[in-house]
Amino acid sequence: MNSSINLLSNKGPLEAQKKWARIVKIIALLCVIALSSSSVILFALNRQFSYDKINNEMNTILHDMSFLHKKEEKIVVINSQLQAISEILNQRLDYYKNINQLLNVIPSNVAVEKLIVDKKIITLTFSSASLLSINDLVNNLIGLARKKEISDIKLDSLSLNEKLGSYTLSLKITL
Amino acid sequence: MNNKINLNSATLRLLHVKYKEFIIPSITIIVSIILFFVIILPQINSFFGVKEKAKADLEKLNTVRSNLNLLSGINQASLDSYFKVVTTALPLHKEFEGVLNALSIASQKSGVSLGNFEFKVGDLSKVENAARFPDLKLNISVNGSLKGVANFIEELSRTLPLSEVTDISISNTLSNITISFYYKAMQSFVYNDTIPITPISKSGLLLINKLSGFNSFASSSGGLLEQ
Repeated sequence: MNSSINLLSNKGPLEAQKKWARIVKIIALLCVIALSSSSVILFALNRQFSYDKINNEMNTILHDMSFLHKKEEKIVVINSQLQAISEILNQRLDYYKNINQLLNVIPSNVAVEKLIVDKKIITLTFSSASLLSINDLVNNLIGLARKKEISDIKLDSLSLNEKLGSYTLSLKITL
Repeated sequence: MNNKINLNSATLRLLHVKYKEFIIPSITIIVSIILFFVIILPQINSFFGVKEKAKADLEKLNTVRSNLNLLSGINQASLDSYFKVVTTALPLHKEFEGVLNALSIASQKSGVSLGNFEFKVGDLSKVENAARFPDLKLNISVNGSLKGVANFIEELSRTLPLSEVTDISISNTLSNITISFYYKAMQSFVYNDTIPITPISKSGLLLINKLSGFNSFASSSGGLLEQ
């Protein structure tokens, strides 16, 4: 029988099938290559961020640090105390400055009978035989208020003791 | 025409022969897809987490390294003397001895004499919470002129431990003064090497220098700040 006379040719479907088989094989091969290469790449990337080197160095440094803990504690204490000291020095009221200012403006023949300091208020009682000296004292205190050395002066009383012949002045000063 | 397909071994054998070229590649593709979703994709996700964690660990390492360099570079003797100065200025607990010494020094320098005094020390062994500025209050009588009392208060302000005069009552030559001596307890210290250590600042060193010029029982017996 002569095959070249065969009118029913089945070359088309077979060729198509072979073509599809080739395509599927190529896709399978590509899948394997993609899978392998992505595995290798991921492995290499994970190795780059390896913990071992960081952990080893960290452990060495922490070991060295353990001998310096006392130093560390001292620095922390020093910084903490310094912060508090700075606040205390900034906030505390130095009354001696105010008292010295007042002493500087009290005329020589005026005596301080009483001085009471309570927070920012100074209560003073003066006595003098001279009303003029009392007047000078009040003017000097007003001068301090004008210079903003004190914020307020309030006269409580001015009295005369005829027996002793002296004047007594009571006032409150607000710092 | 009969549409029924008999799935018997002969049919299967026929299918196998016809499509055998496709079987292995198809299985390979399916398995690759499964492996991609089951292994590769989770690995990619965890990679970013690993990268972030490594970055954080590296930062911690740098912090610990700089802490080590800082501590190694500090002179121990200097650190000890700074510590002595600040804890003399602001003791870590109620200091009975320091208070009495401060009063003695201030009265000697100002030329006044001290009368009765009364203060509440409390439980010396009790550690107060690190309240802002806990203090030891003292009420003392001072014999001297108004000027002398002013000088006493001035000297006290330049004497360690740090104090503050809160109330003054002066009558003729007898004065009553209320003084608060400050102290500051430290809370319990927990070592954490991964937290950056703050070095002593320039302003801190200036303050230490200033405090070392104050009167104290330590400075009167030797030196408060060792160079």
